[in-house]
Amino acid sequence: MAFDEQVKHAQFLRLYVAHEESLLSFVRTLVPLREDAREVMQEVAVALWQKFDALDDVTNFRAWAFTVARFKALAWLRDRKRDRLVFDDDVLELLAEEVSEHVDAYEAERRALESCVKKLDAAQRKLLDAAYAPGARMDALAIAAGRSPMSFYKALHRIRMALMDCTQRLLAQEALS
Amino acid sequence: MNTERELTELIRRYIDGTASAQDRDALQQTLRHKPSARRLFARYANIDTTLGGGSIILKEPMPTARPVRKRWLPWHPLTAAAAGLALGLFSASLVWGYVGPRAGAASSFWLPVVQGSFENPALPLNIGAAPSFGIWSADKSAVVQAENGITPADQSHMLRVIGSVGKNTRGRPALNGEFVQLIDMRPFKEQFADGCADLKCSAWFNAVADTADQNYTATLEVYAMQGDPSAVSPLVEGRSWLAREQIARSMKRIILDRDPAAWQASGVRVELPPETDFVAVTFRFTSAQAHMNTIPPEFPGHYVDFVRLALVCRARADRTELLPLDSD
Repeated sequence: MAFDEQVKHAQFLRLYVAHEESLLSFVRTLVPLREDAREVMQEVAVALWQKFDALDDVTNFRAWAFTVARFKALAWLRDRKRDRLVFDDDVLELLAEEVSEHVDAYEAERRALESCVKKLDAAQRKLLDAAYAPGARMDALAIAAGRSPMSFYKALHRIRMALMDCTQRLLAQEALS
Repeated sequence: MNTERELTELIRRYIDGTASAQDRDALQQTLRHKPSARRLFARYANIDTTLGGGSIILKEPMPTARPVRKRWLPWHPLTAAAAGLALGLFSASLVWGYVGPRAGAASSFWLPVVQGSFENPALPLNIGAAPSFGIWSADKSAVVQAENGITPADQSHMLRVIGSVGKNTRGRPALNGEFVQLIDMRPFKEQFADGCADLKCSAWFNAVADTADQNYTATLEVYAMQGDPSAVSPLVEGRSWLAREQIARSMKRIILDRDPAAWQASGVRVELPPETDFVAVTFRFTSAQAHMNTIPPEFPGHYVDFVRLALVCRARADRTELLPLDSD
């Protein structure tokens, strides 16, 4: 790899890694499943690198990357229009708009989430850890825990909602201080 | 839809992938007309993504035991000899030596990762099998000498990762190259029983400069485990099991730089709970285009070398230290 190419690649990696989580969250809002988001993100990463030369000003990387991610996600969804969970185009556009216009707010919520997870009790953290482990299957986890899948989903939902309340409180306190 | 409770339940079903077509219709109707619903939906997805992203440690850390003994007993030569014997079972070429007490200083020693430098082509790789002690449970791979313009990072051999023995969630050939080895920590219990030891793991990664503009990542992980390792499943499910059951872990992922002339180092460090019975060292390569059918399900030239695991005992006094003179 030529020196210029190495410099460019290093610059791209720094930018990509810095914004990867935001982009993943954005894509996740548009596609039905967590695995789908990871699949789209692989295409996004490749497209960003391939088009990186076309980016005039690296300070615009985030906005540019969101545009590419939006395009890639919508193209991916077009091929899966018959999937029962895919939203209509107009709703997808509205969701994309919501996230891309409030990137900083969602990023702040992700930052606050770490503190909120630490406030959960041991049983809640254990449940989260099991539910989000690579390859985890909710039905198998529920059976192993001696619960019905529905009660497992509900417990997980309550924890997520508690975390969302917590992040909002933390961010509100930050705004006041 | 009448209440926010109903809305959040619909969002939950959608995000968890359990929504019906009717659920989706009801949800999208609300999303279409209510900006507040779109905000709630995006926040829920954001939280779900972040929890599943690996950047936040979800499992509660094990409480760290404080030293209970008034003084440290020196590591008795007999204990050391027993440990050396145990190590010998895993690696015939390990040579251990003693140094005298180094009062007040932190100390460390290498732990026996068998084939950490992949120097013995005759030692088998356990392709697709459940992780176990003293052997790499491996995806498709081979121990090779210098090739493709890449020379080993350490000595004369390295591991070439070729592809996966498994399939992804969509039934296509997976393009992960995954490797796990378990290390029995019971012979070293005395060294970390007071909870003041860390586990350090490092590995070197390299890859050919591919021409297809693919991005590859290399991930290094170490898990501290408690209990019986015979419960570990075969390779593909094995890491999920480790991730689920671990009592401590650390992970680092790097993006490969496409420069075969230079190896990229990666390292992780984790506080070792006193309850640890064994440790799992795992590394993997992942392709950014693994989902595409346009590329063959093999890595064009991806290598790992010099996988090392060390126990680092933080500043303690009056003990005898065991240091390796050579390994692998």
